Amino acid sequence: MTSLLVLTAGLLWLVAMGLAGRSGKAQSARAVAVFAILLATLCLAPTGEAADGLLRQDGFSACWQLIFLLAALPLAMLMPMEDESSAILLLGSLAGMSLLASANHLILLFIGLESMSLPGYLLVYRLNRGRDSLEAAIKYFFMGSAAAALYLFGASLYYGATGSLALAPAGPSSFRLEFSLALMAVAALLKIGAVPLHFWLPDVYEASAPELAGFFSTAFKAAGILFLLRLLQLPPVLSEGMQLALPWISAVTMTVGNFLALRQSSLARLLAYSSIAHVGYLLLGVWAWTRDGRPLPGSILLYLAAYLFMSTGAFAALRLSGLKRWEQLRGYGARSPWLAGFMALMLLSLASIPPTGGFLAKFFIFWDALRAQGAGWVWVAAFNSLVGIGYYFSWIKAMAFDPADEQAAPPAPKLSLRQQGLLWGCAVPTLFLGVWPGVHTWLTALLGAAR
Amino acid sequence: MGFLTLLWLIPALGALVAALAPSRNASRAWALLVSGAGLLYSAWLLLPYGRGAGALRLEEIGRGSWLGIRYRMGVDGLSLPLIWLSAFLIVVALLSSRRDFSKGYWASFLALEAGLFGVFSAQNLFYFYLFWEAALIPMFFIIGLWGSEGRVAAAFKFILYTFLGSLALLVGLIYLVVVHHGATGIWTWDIPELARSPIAGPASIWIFAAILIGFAVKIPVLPLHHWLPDAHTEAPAAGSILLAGAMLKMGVYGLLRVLIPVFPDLSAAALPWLGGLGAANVVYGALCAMAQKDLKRLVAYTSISHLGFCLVGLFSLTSEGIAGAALVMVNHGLSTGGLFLLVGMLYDRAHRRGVSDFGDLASGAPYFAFFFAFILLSSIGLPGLNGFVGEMMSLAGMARVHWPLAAAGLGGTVLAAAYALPAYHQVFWAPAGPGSVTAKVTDMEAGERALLWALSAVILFLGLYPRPLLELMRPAVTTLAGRL
Amino acid sequence: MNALALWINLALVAGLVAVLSSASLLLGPQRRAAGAKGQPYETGMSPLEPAAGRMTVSYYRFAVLFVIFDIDLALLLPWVLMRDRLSLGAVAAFSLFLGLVALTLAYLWRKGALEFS
Repeated sequence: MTSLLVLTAGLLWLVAMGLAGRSGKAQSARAVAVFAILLATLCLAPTGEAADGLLRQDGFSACWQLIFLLAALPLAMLMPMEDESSAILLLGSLAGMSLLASANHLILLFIGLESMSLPGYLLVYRLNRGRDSLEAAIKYFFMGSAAAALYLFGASLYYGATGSLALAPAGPSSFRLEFSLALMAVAALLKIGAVPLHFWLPDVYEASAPELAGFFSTAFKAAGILFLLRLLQLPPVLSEGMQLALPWISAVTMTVGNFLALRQSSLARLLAYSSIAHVGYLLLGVWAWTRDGRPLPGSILLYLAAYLFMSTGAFAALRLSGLKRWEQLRGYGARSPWLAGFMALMLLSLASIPPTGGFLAKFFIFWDALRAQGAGWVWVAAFNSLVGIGYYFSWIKAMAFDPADEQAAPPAPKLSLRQQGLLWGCAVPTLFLGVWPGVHTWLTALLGAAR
Repeated sequence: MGFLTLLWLIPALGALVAALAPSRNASRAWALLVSGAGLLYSAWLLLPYGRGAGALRLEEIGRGSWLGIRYRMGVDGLSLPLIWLSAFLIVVALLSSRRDFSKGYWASFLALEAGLFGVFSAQNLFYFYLFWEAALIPMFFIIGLWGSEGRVAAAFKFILYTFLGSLALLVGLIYLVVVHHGATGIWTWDIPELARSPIAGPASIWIFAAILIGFAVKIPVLPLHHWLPDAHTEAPAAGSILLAGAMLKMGVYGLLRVLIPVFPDLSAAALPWLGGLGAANVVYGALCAMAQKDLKRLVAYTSISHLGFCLVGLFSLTSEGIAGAALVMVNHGLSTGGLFLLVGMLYDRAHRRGVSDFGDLASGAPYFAFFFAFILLSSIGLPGLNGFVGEMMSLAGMARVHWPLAAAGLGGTVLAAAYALPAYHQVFWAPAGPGSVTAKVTDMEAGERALLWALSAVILFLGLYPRPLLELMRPAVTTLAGRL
Repeated sequence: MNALALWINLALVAGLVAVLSSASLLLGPQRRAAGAKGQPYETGMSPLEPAAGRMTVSYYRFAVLFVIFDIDLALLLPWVLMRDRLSLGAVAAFSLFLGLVALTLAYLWRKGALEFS
């Protein structure tokens, strides 16, 4: 809760700065945003219920808030800023996520979701102005509105069926109840971009500034997964239905994502499809959890944490290198060996090669799914990982083995100390998450804190 | 920090240093230093065994344990020779490489060494898999960056095939642990623990098949061998030496260390099939080698043939057979490594590899002729040299349980002469053809000769007196065979 | 089984979208209006252009601002009516809300959002 207040205070401070209209706002706005994010990170703790039980801050909430804040940090550091307004949008979105994570009520969940998403749509156009990003922003807005409408319809039906909007297991199952839950679940799947509700996602990621796409792929996805997990904690009805539907959705999502990623020539688009594939693996983990009814295992959180670092790193590398299209990759390893090496590390992690976080994350997802008697689904996921090798290693191959094409690519960037720090901040945790298998047990314990 | 951690940690950190070294020469010198240290270190680990020590001698267990995943390393008589072999071949490979390779080259080899040491000393399946994968990536770069013309395609084929195997292995291993937990209520990834209470039931067949595929791609067993000829041919000479000499052994070692101990019953049930695949490997590899016009490709196919002997020996499930297979691993590493080394030296001079590109080399390059003949004969199993002992023991083991397969394998040894000798004849004795590049081949320099003398000495020693090696392996082999 | 119900539900979601998007076409009166009856406003004035035409984007900005203050008013009304029975905390809470809205308005004003251009 404290971190939510810190974020709001930062937000108000930025508004006040805008009102005062001082010069040199962009730099100080960035400083305020970064400071607010860091301070909010320090204030994270499971503090229990607040506001008459409307809010509940448990270990679960704190873990997810940590992911949101860490995902926002590189965006705050990298995004272009003219004045304080982009920083306001970012902090607003973060405050929404923070609220989403600690909401204990369907309406608060909705408010969190919307105040997270609306600034996101605006940022798509604001950080990268052009026809494509305008179109993407509008597309994203309409998709978000569709999700919101489905959710609201579902929530109102839920209220009609149970007479309550609290996030707590409801009474006996009825058709109306199931219908309302199905509507809300579809909204969640749309938010995380599960196939067949994924079609908006590549356009948005491609047209956004790469650092924003990184933020979407990590924080927004984590929020969507959290949203889904919260819904799955409602009555047992949804879990049972989801047990049947989730593995299929997961398998189709990862397969479509991987196979379409094979054919992309735009790098951001490739990473977008890759993120769809990763949602597929995540959903497999969610399914395994609904199956065996244990408290939420660390696997999903570990996956999100690993994905946080590797996806942020990959998109940040795109932003810093200025690479956009596949042809520009040729010979990049010779031109800018350090950045190419960093990119290769992120790609190896995305491809789940040990010793990287991506490997350990997928390892535990597979483990959970096998425990939940899902050997068949694990084979599908393993086959998909092989397909993934195809494009991740093609990327590495293009950078390392192909002859350089001088005209095509942007010149090697000169990285500032802060930018280098950001890259190390992605690389070190990616490696660390890959070499310490105890992280899973540790995260499981963390999630259970103050439950 | 224990002895076994240092074993893999030194080359791993060494690779980092080599990548960051100020110059190419410094990087090379550092890599030679680290790999030399690795060789001495592995030899020092071997020493206690010369005096007939027990089964699992050195062990090291980390403090933390998470759901059965714990850091547990251990070496015995089966893994130590392979560790020594890898260390030896790395030194040979690095010494034989041109000096002007970039820093990444030297670093990759050290990283590969760390992976190999890890695989051969891990006693916990999680770490086994970790090192298994970690060894792949440096090889991908070695083939793709420093190989010959078709290198990129070959590197890609290599990574896709080996990854197919790795994923099958990964799922198989996790499934194994999950099923084992279901049966016993204990989470464990330790190989000895898993071997103590073998799992049963319908799932075990799937697990067996998955793990088998994982190892079979690496060996490679027949229908999964397609990556091997390209990878070996296109890799730089040093890469081929390690690929054939050490990396293929990871697969056989996996069968020996994981699959057979954990699934004794299923291995016995699959005996005719897997032994048959082994015999098919022997014959098929030899037949393919006969048809090759490229020297390096020829040697690559002989690897398929020789590793067939490993399979034949292993899946006889007798102590002779298993010991023979373990011996073949070491011997094949030495002789095939030597052949790749020689072909690489020829290629460096002439920039050709075709059998018919050469002719009458013996008169201008007598050292080449001598060493080539010596190592080729060891490779095809001439009695008195190292190849013979292992192959005969493998076949003898198989003959006890399933003689037609042993007979088929024996046919393979005859075919070996049929592919090796004509090629040798063409390159060294037959008159040079019109487009021949023989004139470009100068004879070996002193350093190269020294390298080959060392290799030949080991080959001769193990051929005449394999007993120390067999004694070293005996406790582990007896334990394994006794459990079957 | 409940899982079956979920599938039914998902099918219903799809069906619902289809029905809602085609309902006006199917159910709406198929009028072929002509002359004055077909006009949107019965004022006798002919529209200058189709109603679905474009409007300048500044108009939407004001439309959104209008909606905000409209809702603001709708929330303010019950508060005013209940003012005798409200605790101090509720007064403070609503003042905070009003303060935030005022601050936002000031910010927008400052940014030039209220200039119709």
